[in-house]
Amino acid sequence: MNDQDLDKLLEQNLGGDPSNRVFRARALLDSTSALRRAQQSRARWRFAALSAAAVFIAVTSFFLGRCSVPASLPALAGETPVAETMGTVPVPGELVDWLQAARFFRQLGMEERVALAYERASKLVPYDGTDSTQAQDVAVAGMRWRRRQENGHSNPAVTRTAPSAESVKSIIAQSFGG
Amino acid sequence: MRLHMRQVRRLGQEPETAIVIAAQGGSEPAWQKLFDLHFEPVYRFCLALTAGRRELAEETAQQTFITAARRIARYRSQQGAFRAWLLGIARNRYATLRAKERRRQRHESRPGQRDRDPTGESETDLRVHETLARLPLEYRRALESKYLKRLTMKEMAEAEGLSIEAVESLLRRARDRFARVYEQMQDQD
Repeated sequence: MNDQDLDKLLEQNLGGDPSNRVFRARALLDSTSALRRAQQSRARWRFAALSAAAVFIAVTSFFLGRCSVPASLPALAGETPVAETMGTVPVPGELVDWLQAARFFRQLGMEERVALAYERASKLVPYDGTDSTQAQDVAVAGMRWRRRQENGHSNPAVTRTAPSAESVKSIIAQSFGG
Repeated sequence: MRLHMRQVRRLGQEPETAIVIAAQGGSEPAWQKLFDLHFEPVYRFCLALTAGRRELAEETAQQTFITAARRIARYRSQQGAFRAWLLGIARNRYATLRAKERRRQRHESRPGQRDRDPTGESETDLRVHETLARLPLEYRRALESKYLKRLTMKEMAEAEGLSIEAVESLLRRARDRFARVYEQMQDQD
């Protein structure tokens, strides 16, 4: 292709009237608006995607956290669950009788007898088959009644003297195998 | 992230690529710059595509730039020049507009009457625009300044900040490259 052909080709195809100014301005305005809308749309999508990702991460973390913890917590070494012990260990009928008697005496206001009943009950708590804290609870309840009795809450109608603290201790020690 | 023109200059890349990156970031001044650089040649391409039908060429050019603005984030410079990407959009837009027009004509015209499809009549014209789109930016700008904007050598030298001799040399190299690429495209066809 020689220079003259090239000049002619370019002049034919690139020459001519320029585009209408009004049309050109409208095209610029419309395309700039399209650019702005596309940018806003992209920003909205980006925000939505980030929000969805954050929610997904939070939900996944929550469920993973839940799955990593066993349904029941492992028992401490050597400790028998209370519910299981209470459900399976047989207790003497006399113990139940003494506890019912203690509740009855309490309703009657006979506090000295309440303490006595708890003391008897504490002797009957089976040591090997149950949680030691249960026996201690019964014994402590007896002592608490005893202390209240000593601090002046005694019923004046009751004339019988309560056993001493030493005797309560010895009873508890005996019943716990000491 | 929004890149402004000052940041663009600091990027130290090829000017057009930097402007495209800024426009992809949502910069309206960068988009206006791209529009100024490419509107007239794309419009000429649309005129060639529509075989001189000014109304259809305007519609095609307008839709081309609206589509380009909407999809500019998808443009990758590794795939080709920005101008070539615009011309591709123009071809697609024109095909869509023609399809619509043909359906409307088929609906309105009597059976048996066939509409005239201008595609194929101006393949040479289209090749000129596509060859220009493949040229390096400096050569394309030199040729467009001379043949499209019809600037004189002196005006071109002032616009580019070069001497008249340098502009003549640039134009000579641009024409040589144009001829080579144009002939390669003819051989491919």
